Amino acid sequence: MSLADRTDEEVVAMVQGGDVDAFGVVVERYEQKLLRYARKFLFGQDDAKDLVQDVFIRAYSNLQSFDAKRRFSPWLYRVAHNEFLNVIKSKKGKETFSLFDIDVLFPHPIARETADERANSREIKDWMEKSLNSLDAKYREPLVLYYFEEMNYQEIADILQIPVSTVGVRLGRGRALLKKNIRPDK
Amino acid sequence: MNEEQDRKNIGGGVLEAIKRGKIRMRPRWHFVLRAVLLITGIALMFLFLFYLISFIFFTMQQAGNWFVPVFGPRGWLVFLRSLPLLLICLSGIFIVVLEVLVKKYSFAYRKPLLYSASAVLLLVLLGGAFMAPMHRGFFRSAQENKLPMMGLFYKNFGPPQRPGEVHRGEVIGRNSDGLQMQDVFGGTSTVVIYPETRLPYGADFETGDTIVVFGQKDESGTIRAFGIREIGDFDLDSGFRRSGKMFPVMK
Repeated sequence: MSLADRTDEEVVAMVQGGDVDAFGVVVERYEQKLLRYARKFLFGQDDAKDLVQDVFIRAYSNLQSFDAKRRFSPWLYRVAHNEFLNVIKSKKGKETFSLFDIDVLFPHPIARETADERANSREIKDWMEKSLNSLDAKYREPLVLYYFEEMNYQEIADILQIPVSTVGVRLGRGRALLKKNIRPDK
Repeated sequence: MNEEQDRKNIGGGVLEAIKRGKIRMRPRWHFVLRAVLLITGIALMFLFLFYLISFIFFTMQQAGNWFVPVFGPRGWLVFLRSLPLLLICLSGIFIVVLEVLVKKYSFAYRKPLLYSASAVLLLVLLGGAFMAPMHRGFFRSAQENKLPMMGLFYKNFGPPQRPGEVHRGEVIGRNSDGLQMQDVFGGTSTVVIYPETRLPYGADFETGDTIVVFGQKDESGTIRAFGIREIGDFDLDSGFRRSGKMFPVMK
């Protein structure tokens, strides 16, 4: 079986076993996704490429902490999330990212996306292209992960290390804010 | 074109750095050690909190303040005033630290903070209540100066220091007005029972019963009982029991 036919987890297990070249496959599979994530989440920073490179370096350094029985992509996105968060924190004043949020304190009913909203996902992506910068990082990030990276609630919860119900709350509020920004009259 | 350029830059740069040895993969034992340290930290934090919370329970039970809320609002007021705030604040800080550590696990962070914090709190309270009797032995050893390091701790916080409105003791006799009680200091008090004295668990006191009397003590050692309750399972620990007799040690 060629490397291209192997799953992410199988490829990572090979890297863990010492096959450095296999890490090239990991980079190839995820670099565009992580660049998109960086550009959307950090709203098109010029240094997105450097940041993604740092993400891969950090991922490689910590690869032995990955349990190959679990899914690799949430683990890698978690590494990226931490890296990007450091960038946001280092640029104080430009944007705030609170360490504690009231949303994570109380239980919320898990507001799954309705069929109507799913059908409008193209429209929501368009709104995000136009107005994502206007949102707080805490709403922007789950929206990017859900609509562009096509992660589910559980995976987003694992990446951001927040309750699953909070993911639903932030997605709902993020969509509402986007709608308000795009159509202020409604 | 741009994508191709990105791929060359990022992928090439990372692989080159790895091959040149600029980036090294941390060994697995590093992460195993971190995981073990985290688990150990959590376990130690739990044990420390069990100890601290159980000590709070112990001091309040020994002073008798634990038992007075049953006498109504006045009892609650005394109970709240008697809370060891320093120890409670310290416990609160350690509970926050413990919650931060526990939140590193998916079973904790996937649930709202309220649930995980409540679970941690419930666990330490249950553990504390379960371990409270352990302090009797420590306290006795401290009184006998057999507890070199922790002895001072027990002497400083140890119960009871100043008798206020709450008096613990053992019934040593009955009379027409009420009871005779030997307190934890070895002194004898007369407890006067009035028609309005609150007796939530009845007035069937017998010689040898351990009781808590809630009320003011006058200079003659007579306590006007606002309320009395038996606390059967909680032995007096400021004195020893030998052959069924109590030997007070605080003079």
